[in-house]
Amino acid sequence: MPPVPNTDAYMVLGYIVIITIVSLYTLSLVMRFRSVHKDIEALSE
Amino acid sequence: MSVIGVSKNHNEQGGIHQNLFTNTHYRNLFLRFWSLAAVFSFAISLYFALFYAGTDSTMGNVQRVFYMHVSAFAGATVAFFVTLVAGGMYLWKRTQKWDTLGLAGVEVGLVLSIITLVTGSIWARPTWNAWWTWDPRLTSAAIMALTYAAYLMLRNGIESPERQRTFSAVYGILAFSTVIFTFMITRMRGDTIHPNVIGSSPVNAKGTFEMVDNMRVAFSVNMWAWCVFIAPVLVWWRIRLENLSNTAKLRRAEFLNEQN
Repeated sequence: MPPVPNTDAYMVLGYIVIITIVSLYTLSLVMRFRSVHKDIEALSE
Repeated sequence: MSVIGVSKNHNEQGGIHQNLFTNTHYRNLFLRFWSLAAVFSFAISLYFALFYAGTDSTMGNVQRVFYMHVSAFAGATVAFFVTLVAGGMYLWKRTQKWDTLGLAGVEVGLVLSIITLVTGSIWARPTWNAWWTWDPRLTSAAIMALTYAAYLMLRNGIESPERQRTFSAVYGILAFSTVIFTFMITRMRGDTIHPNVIGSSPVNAKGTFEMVDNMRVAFSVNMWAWCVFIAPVLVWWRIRLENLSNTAKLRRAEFLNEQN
């Protein structure tokens, strides 16, 4: 039986990419929420 | 509650501002609970993919990317399907809430499509010995993502709100054909090397594997997490953001009117 190939680095890279993209999108939502809140507050003053 | 909390409130500003997902205590509580469940389900799906599922003997640990690669595509399909339905509903009802829902579906679906494309490329490198090939499935998936990216760009280029919404609705409906095409292409073309999850893989497929029970459980957990929690929660938060942006636009318009 052939040995199992060592592809661990690709697996780690894959999961880093997944976590990074999800985190970046979540962060972009938070930043946009803050920006719009600031706009609304500024207009209310 | 109609579609995940879309209220039927309207105002007299010609559709600039509508109380979609109004900040009722119940809806806030439900969204927070669902968001927590999404975070928890993401953690659980990571555990099942990385530790519970066994290691594939042919490809090694890179095969574990499969669980989220496919599930992210399924989540994107859910989001794009939401846009399809919202497009139809907008053309029928002509209310802004459906346009907002469609926009949210496209943005979230696009993010999840990018995850699918990038993880697929990473998986392909050790399996196919290439980061990218112009395989029918890869090409159709790239076309799908580009089609939805174009939705966002073209939408922002239309100034008239009514025309923007009508265009988005029609485009969102037509664009779903790329999702169906991406799903079907490996079943129509014999020369693809991309394996299938549902049904038998094409004869030339490289990177196929036999799913044992542990893998099936890990796959099911991931599909559940991405389709039921992560994608819908992101869509809902994106709707809230759009509603808040519309409120800001309305306030700005009122402010400018007062100045004049």
